[in-house]
Amino acid sequence: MEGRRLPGPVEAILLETAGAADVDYDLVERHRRGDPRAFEDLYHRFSAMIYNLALRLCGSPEDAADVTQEVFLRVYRHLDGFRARSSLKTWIYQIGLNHCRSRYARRPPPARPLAEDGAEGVAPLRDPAPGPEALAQASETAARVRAALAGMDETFREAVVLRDLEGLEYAEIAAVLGVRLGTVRSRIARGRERLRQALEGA
Amino acid sequence: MSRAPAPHLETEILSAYLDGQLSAAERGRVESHLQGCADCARRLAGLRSAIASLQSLDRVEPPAELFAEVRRRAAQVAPESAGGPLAWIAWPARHPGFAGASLAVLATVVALVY
Repeated sequence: MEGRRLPGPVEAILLETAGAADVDYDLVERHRRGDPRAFEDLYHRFSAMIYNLALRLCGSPEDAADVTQEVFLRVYRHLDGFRARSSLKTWIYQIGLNHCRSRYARRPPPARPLAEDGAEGVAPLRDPAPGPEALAQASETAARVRAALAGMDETFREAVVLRDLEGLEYAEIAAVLGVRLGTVRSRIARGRERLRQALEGA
Repeated sequence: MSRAPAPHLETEILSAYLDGQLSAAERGRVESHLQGCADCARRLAGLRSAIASLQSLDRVEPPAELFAEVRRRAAQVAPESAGGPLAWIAWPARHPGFAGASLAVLATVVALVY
């Protein structure tokens, strides 16, 4: 309709996902028109993303399930008011992040991060494919990574999870966190450095 | 030892290098430094390995029953359209018949037009 504004450097990166944006726009429009399947489609498009975000930021499957429910209830209530200033993905990540933050703000930092190891990861041990030694080692690495994440300053944890687990671009992370690109770069680096030291036993 | 006068690369530079976030000039500087500095090369390898370990964590599917619970709870709350002028008209949407809400909006639009 109107002439499209030329993208700046940040928008250019966000526009890389233009195909995804079309699908998102369609979902929002269908929801506005009252199509009850739209919300279900939206849930299936984004629920694994939010569940895994919460699992890694908060640490337990219970938290991940609770956060996922709260996030999608909020999305359901506010989707009509969603404005396409940001992408749907960014908006849902922001809601997810806020719910995670309010959860770990209520809790003291983990004094014994290894205690959460029993919370997940029993099932993969039953996978017969790799040998028992490889499995034990993978499981030990996973436990150390989870412990390192849990013991890390949350601003670094958020940046590293969004970048290395969720695979977001720097510009997307800047949008989700509401900080500048330079801050994103610095937080990712510091989170990775903490992780490296923890895994190398430094 | 003192053969390389250039200071060690900052972690932030190494991390950004891994993500392809450096300019061509910065990248060139990093790569030539790495060739002569085992310390920085080792730290870079450590960062790479830390990322790989992180990414080896399982990606977990949310429990299948979660959606039913979300839908059940969603049916009990009204969608809110962020305070737009038509927001209050949409209140019948809190009742299961969403068609009612659409009709209310349609009726209002018709009433406004005529």
